[in-house]
Amino acid sequence: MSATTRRGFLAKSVLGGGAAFGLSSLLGARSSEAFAAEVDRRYDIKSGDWIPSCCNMCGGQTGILCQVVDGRLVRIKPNDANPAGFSNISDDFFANCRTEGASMCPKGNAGIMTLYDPDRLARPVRRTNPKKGIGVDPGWTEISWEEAYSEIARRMKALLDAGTPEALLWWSEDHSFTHIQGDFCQLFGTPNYSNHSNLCDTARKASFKAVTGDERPLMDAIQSRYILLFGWNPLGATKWSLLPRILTRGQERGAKLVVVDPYFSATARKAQEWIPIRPSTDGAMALAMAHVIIRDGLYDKKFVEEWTHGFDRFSDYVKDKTPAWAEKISTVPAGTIERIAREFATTQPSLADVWSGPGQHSNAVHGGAAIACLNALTGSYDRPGTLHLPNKKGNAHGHLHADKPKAPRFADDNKLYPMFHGSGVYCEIFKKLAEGTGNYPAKMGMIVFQNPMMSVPGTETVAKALSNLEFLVVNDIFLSETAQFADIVVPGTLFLERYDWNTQWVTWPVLALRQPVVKPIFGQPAEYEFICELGRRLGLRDQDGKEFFRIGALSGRPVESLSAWYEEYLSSESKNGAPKMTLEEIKALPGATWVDKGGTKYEKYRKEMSTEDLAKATCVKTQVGGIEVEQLWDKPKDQGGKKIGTRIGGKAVKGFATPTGKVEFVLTCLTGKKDAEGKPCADLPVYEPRDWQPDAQYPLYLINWKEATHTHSRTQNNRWLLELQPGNPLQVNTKTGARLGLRDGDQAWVESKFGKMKVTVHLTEEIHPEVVGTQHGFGHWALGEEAKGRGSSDSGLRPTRADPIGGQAMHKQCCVRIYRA
Amino acid sequence: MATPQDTPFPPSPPAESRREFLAGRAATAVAGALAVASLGGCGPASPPAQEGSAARRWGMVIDLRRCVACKACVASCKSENKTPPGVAYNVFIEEEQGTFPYVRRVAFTRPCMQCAKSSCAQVCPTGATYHRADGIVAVDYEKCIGCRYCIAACPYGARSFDYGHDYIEKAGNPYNEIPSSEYGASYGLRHKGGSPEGNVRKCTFCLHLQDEKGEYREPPACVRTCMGKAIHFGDLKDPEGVCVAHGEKMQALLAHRGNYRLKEELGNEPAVYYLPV
Amino acid sequence: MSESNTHAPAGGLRLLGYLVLAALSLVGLKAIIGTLADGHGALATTQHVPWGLWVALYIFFLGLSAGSFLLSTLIYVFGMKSLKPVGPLALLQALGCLLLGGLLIILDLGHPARLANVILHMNPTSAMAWMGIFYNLYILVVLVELYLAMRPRLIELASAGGAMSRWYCLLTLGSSNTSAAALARDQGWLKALGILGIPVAIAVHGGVGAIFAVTKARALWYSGLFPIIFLISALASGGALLTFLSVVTLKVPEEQKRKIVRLLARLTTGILCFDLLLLASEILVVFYGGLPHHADGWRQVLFGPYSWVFWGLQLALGTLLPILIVGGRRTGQSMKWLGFAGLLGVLGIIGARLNIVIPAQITPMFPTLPEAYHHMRYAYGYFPNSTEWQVGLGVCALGWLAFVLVRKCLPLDGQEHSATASSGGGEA
Repeated sequence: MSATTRRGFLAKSVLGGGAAFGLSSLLGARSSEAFAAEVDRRYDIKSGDWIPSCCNMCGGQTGILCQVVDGRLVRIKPNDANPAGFSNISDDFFANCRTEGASMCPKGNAGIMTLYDPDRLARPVRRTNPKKGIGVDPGWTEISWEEAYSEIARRMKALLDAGTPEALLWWSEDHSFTHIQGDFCQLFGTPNYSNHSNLCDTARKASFKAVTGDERPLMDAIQSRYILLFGWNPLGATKWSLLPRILTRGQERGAKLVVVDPYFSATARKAQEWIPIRPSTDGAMALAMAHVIIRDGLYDKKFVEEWTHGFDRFSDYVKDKTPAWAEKISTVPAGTIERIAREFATTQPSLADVWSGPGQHSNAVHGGAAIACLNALTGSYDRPGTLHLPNKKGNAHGHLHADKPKAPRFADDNKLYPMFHGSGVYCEIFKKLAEGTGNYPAKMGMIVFQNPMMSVPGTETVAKALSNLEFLVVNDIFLSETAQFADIVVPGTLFLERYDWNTQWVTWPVLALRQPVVKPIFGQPAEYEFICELGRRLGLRDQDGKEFFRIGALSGRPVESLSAWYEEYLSSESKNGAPKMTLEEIKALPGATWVDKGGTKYEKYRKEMSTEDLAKATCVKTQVGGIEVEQLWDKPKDQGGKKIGTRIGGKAVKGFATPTGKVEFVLTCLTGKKDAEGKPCADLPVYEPRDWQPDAQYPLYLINWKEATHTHSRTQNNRWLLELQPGNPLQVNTKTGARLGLRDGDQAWVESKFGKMKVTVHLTEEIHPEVVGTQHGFGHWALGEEAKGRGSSDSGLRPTRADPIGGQAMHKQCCVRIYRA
Repeated sequence: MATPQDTPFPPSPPAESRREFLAGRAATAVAGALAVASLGGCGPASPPAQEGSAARRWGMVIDLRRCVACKACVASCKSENKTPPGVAYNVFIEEEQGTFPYVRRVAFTRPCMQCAKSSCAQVCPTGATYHRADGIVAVDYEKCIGCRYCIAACPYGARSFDYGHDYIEKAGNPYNEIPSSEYGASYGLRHKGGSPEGNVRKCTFCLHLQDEKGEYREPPACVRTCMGKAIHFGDLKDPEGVCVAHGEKMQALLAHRGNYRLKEELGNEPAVYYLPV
Repeated sequence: MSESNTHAPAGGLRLLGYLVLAALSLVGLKAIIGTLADGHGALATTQHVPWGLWVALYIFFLGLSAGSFLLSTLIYVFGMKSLKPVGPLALLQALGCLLLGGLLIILDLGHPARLANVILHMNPTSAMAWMGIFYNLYILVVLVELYLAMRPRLIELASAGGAMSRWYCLLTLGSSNTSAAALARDQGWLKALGILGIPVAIAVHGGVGAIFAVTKARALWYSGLFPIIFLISALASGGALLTFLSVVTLKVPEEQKRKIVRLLARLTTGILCFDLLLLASEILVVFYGGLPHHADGWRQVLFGPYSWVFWGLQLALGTLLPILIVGGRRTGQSMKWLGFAGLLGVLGIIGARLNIVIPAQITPMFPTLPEAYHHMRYAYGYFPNSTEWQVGLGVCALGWLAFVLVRKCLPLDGQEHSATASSGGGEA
């Protein structure tokens, strides 16, 4: 094909769009060379609009810069103004980010492929087949947005009219437009708003909350000398993109990285030492380490004395938790435990962190707490190079003038789970929905940007639960497995098409804006606009009689445009939050990111309260764990007060956010409590075997993990990512495989007492011989043409059950047998 | 977004119809069989847009201690060069080694090595693959006949033939209207039968990100995105040359840690160095 | 089938054969058009195995061509008179195979329309570019030689009258001089061209061998013996095909034919044995050293999933069996058996060609490169898909049909034997 023709073709397709954007100056120069030159100029890396935003290919919210030309997204690159792609420590960020530049993971780089994914849902659809079930064709028929809105609003209105708004159950993702959904639910009158966190890490949250009062400490790897990770895979489950840099840089500066994990994870591969362990026994190893550290007097005596509670009981408890005892439980050699314990205690600063590996079993909260206690022994909290207790100030969720819904939550999850997390307990809800044992009949469901059919254990139960709803609305960018159960599915937006605030996963206050870099490609409303429109149609009003979804949050005046109304909503959150800036002001900041100049602060617990604060504070003397504690509250508890300090050693200090104001070896928040299954909770970080162990019939542990190339169950239709990782073969230790007569590449069945899945076997030396596992997220039977039929989903192999303390879905508690298919 | 009909532009010449194209291709094929040198239609090969500066030799120093095997380099390359399915300029190679529990992973990213004595340019029958003054091995898509000899000859597997696959078949999908900047607009958009389809393609160190003087305005995509900041990219000729992405001195990086190049024994003299784990 | 002069199947069977050939040709043509229209997406080749069946067939045809040309020089250069009747046939075979190979290799190009770039923008360090140059030169030499070899016979036929005389007249290119001096001049030219042709044919086919031999990236190819093996196996294949075609098409007196065929068969067998020797030397050296990347390719050939191609097709059917047949006391005398041996030799060479092209590419550049990237074009392993077979077999069938047709229109039986005006019967 001649050059002329090719350029003609280019002219047609590229400048066709461009012409509308004021390219009329080119009219004089119609030659193909001029066209080509113009295209080169327009699509050059320095051209077009570079719009700062935040990624949401996963929940990591890494800062991105998006190049938009002629309304099309051309490039995405890292946003150097946002620390999420660089470092979680402010000194490091301020000093080095400008020279080194931020990073992005493969998923973020593949954002364009999801934005323009041809399998995306473009218009609302309604099911014509009333029968619901796995493999049942819903018989989708396209409907107009007006039809969708009016039908959904009519259904909701019926609940309001019947005086049963609580019959609406709502599920959402946990990093995107959560506030407005929470507001909607509260105004509507349903207490049943839940979101994703309890599928992820609420056990970790509970563990650290119990020990330190802070549910989300972050490791300061870059300043650490010894990084001990239990079942955390930051280089595979790479969320915020700073993780690889801080870990490798920490190692470069001399830190030793030790990873305890049944699988030779992406992080274990970078570690100086990998310690394979039997799943769910990390707590035992941590207790044995504590035994060694206390036995040999290697702990930070000053810190323990001044800043911890319950050391004596704890040291009594670990007296017989010897490395030999732990070896029997965990398979980690006693000698290794001795050595790691000594290294950990004597190489300062050190940190021990834990995430979802040990965090998704029935004994997760106590196991995590035992690991949290290791840091307590070495004073490894909030100091440089330890587990940092970050200042998470960011946007402020505006105070909604509305009563909390009167009805109890459908599943009573908030009462049953002693360390209930605000995200709810999906497992409890779905189980009760399937069994029909909730507090009242649930009639309607709204699922936004969630795919519980793939992500909640017990696929059959979830299917039954969803089928039991009279009317289900799903808002998603794909016709997911969950959408197959919906009565109406409305197309959602990708992160590149919408707004959000992101408080970043760093140790000091940072607030970054996600903003639409392209218009929603099908002209569909963003999720918040969808919710806002529903709110308007229902005429939802707050206590003051104000029509919430119509009145601007800052101006107090009616705002007609949905997006303008939401922009004001966001603006009020940042204006009233830490930045004290409007949306427009933050948009204008470099990288649309507000970064607190104050930076990372250490040992904040030592900070003495100012005399003004002290003067205003309410002093509450209370008995906690057998001692009297003098707590300082900003206002009385019944007026919505918050604990702001504790009197320790005579000084009024900020302290830790625990009831005692100290790091707690004795978990006072659990003292006297019962777990969701009615068992009394231990208030020491005890080791108890998880309640599902291998037996003769199902002799192997089944676990799962993430790899850097995919997010949960939502990126398996991304064509670029599939070229990096097209499936999830079952990893089986070579010796185990040989024993079972399995060869590499065999098709095999993995069967638990709840279900089975077909897998491709990969024999490897990289996994504990008692354990088999896969990357989570594959095995779709819907979602999109590319995703369908790739790999295996293990969700059906487990019951719909959460850890009985924190309500964490137990994705890793499963025993199986394998046989050739 | 305006449709082509809405534009104030005159209608562009219609793309060659499939039949005409086919006829042309078949005719030239037959003529070609007799190898009559007077073939028309090919036209003179377009001169490469830039030749780079002879004062430089662009190269990479990849620090495997920093590499976390995330494969962002591969994805970012896709995005920057808009390569089609089945064409990968860089791939990430991993190998399991050892016996449980003493296992390790060999892992490295493999861009084009931009060899000083490249096998590909040596064997290319038409000189379509050539060495730029700045050491980058580039392909002149107009000269390339698609014989794939270079693929057979490259010891690093760093070249791909464009088989004409597309990620998105759906007509009118915006993705298909985003031109690749790789060699400029002339080859930016894909269409049946036209270059770069039917050509052999390769990593060019994102040479389209160079300015007129041959300096990088932005680091190559893989360097820019790398999560561990493991890929250093800069001028290897300049003793004081620094990484265009993160400022380290390239020669210092090479001197302080020991380094190696892949298949050094073949004598291709790659411009890509690895720092050992 | 009787041991007759023609060794041709009976009418009905022959018709069936033509129908099959025609059908294969049509299917092949359709696939060719499809490939030209839609590009290479239809091929099973990959980024690791960029060259597939078509390239293997290309070197197969080129080998046949070079082999038969070099055999023709026995007549025209070295004056081996007894073989003279097969001279034009050998040259036609050289030309036809060259064109068939050329067609396949052009189809294999991503941009066939740019073929001339090999000449226009020739890169002197490229073995392939040189092959292109010699390919053209070689075609010229063969064309002129063929003309000269047939000229006296063409003039004779042009003046013989009949339906075809116009055609023959055209082919004489206006020449009518059949004087002894002119014939001698012809012979002189034939000899000169033959002498010129020898290095050219060696350059073309040895050059193809060199294309492979110079790629140090593929250890299996990277050997100085490679171009030589190419040449020797080319000779063997050319001889084998010529033997076969002589048996089925040569129309000379029975005794003369027997002599020619036996000579050809023995010659071919000798070359096959030498080829075997070279191969053995290469393989033994490779495995003795056992350099991993070196041995891996050969291990694929000898013990890989397609090792039957080597042991079965190339060695047993293509080499040992023909040697046994030719050496056999009874079979060595039988036209039928010798023709069969020739056919086997040709088939065996196809196996040899596949073994040259494919296994070297199957060996990954890095041990785990196959798992590094996931797309069908990055898969390792290669087996030709239906499009490739269709084109490959189609081209073979087309060649055969063309040969049948051309044989009707050209005097191929050597000018010395003045048979009655072409009877047209008895071809394959």
